[in-house]
Amino acid sequence: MVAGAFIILNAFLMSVGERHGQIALLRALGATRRQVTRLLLREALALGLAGTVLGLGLGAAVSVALTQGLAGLVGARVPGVAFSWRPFVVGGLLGPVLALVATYIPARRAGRITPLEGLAEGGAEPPNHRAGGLPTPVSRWWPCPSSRPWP
Amino acid sequence: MTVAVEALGLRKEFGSGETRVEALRNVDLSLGEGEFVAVTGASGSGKSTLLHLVGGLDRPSGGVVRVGGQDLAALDDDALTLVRRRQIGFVFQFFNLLPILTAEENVALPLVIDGVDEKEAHRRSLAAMKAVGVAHRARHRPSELSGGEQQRVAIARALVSEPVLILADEPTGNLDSVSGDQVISLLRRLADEHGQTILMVTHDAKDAAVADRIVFLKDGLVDDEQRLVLDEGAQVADVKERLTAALPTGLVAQTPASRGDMAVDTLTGDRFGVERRQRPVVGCRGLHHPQRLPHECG
Repeated sequence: MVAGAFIILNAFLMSVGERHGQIALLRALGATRRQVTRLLLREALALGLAGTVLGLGLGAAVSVALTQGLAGLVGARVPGVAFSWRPFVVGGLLGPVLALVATYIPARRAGRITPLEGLAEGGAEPPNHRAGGLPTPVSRWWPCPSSRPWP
Repeated sequence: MTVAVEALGLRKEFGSGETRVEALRNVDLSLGEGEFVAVTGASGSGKSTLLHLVGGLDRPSGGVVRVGGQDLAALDDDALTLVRRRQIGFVFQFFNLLPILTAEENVALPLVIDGVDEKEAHRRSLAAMKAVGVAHRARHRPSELSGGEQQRVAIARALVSEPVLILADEPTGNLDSVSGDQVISLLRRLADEHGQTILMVTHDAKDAAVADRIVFLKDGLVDDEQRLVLDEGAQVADVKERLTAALPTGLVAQTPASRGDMAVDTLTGDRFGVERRQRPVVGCRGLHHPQRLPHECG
């Protein structure tokens, strides 16, 4: 879990770094530090929830497949996988919470970005957009009228 | 004329000790409501620093900046952020639109940040886009727009919250000459028809000449000898002569090669037409009350 938290922390630090100019633009247009921090925490929570649901489903499916595979391999009857609610509840709660905890520091740091940082040279546009590449997946969580993430 | 923006004894220093640089030294500047002022000067003269301080993007080392009567230096970060959100619109050289959002969503951004109702944000964004002539591109993303269209979307975003002041930092610096002319004409029209106060920083003599007044900065100081007011009714030749005389040495030389046709020698009469100076009476500010007399303002 600690390793997972560090991976999330690292990924989020990189993601915030990549979007420095966009965050500076939001600050210039009038987003408060708290709004920027909350926006990023919401993004982390949404990604944490999605990852948890995906992880739980994938974990259950893989364990069933492995059990069946093992039974086929040894040619014996193996009892089916018994699921209990506890790992789902604990995992379901821990996933999003861990994502929030791991991203708290980068989100706070992003809130301290000043409006002037990254605004020159068209900083609102991440490098992969300028190169015509795919958009950064998490940048889809930026605010728009139809999915208002503001407090 | 009511004062919309005022800077008094404005100073900005960077670094300390031997590396200390004075970017601005006791600059005084005042903009009346509906006035279009251009700030120009050589690189490093303090133009952009002045714009950043007036826009609340940076803090002065000394002096006072008042926007809509509020002293920006006395505000805490949250209050200053609110002033930027509601009272100042920014137009940047590199457009600074969010690539993942459509043009309309970009325009609506300041309203969304301010918690404006979704329908209202939509209505006001479209009105702003209509005013700058890009409503038909509302659903396009910035990458699908030309440079001129992107800058007009950025101007719509600056307008949408009906700010006291629009700050434009080299708005034509990243555009070809035709798009640049359109953007400058648009800014002129916003001042004339909507009573919008505009402070524009530019290297370009031709762009600067479209303003009501040109302020030259030199080594962080307003160069009073070069101050130029483009009076109403000024004749084309007169304006050209005064502008040429007032240009600091080297300014024309700094005009980018791609916009070389905009050097003073080739200034066209159209840009200095007397008609442009015959401004309509504008009684109240904002897109929704263009050209109304003071007693008609709601």
